[in-house]
Amino acid sequence: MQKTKTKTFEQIVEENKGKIYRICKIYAVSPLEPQDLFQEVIYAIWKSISTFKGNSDIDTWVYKITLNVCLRSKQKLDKKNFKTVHLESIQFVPIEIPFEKTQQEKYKALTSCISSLNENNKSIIILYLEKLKYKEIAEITGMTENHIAVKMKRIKKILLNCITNKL
Amino acid sequence: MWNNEQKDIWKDIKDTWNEQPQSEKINIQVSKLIEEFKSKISQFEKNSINKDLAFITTSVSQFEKDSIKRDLNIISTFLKKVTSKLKKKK
Repeated sequence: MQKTKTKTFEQIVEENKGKIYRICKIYAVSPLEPQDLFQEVIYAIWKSISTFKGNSDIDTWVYKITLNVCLRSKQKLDKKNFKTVHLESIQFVPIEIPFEKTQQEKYKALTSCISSLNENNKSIIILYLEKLKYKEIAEITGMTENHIAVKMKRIKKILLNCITNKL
Repeated sequence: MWNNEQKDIWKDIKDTWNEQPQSEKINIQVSKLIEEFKSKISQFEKNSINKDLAFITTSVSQFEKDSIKRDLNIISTFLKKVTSKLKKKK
């Protein structure tokens, strides 16, 4: 049982670490680092893995946990009491990949514009950019598919305006 | 026409998001990580409780604050009355 849990956990973490970190980077606000949030998400996955009943898709489940941890951490962040646990077994190795300047600027503008959105809209657009369907976004956020469609129209307009102004 | 243009723009935005420049490579040693979770579990829980407490403290509404203030005023007036009566009796 424990072996299966470890194996499933390993598979989930390996397959999803990239997208988890992408989301953590958006939600991390000083003094919180994306790495701290990432660790918390991984811990939350470990804690909840035995309760995953397979009612939803594993990807949807991971997104749900990631967004919950990120939103909770932001709401509850108390700078005075804030402490992080450093896990030795998770290592972030700096790498340098040559990237086109224009692409870098686009990415900067995009993340800055996403960060300026309210929490609800931020979650929705992140899930949309992660290529999830409206039905899946609705399942994760607890809204109806129609509500997501309406909201998406507005968010797209806001985001596009913001990016155009920045570039 | 407008629709196609929009589609292209959003495809480009999605690509920018999904192919974002990676500044770090994440290496995870799962078996060691599980051991670490087990040994550091109390610290994780403690931090989580601290965050919950901080959240509750900041979430006390103004209404509740005012209500506590009123109660404190009533108690202090009552105490003042009692102490003045006691003084008079002496």
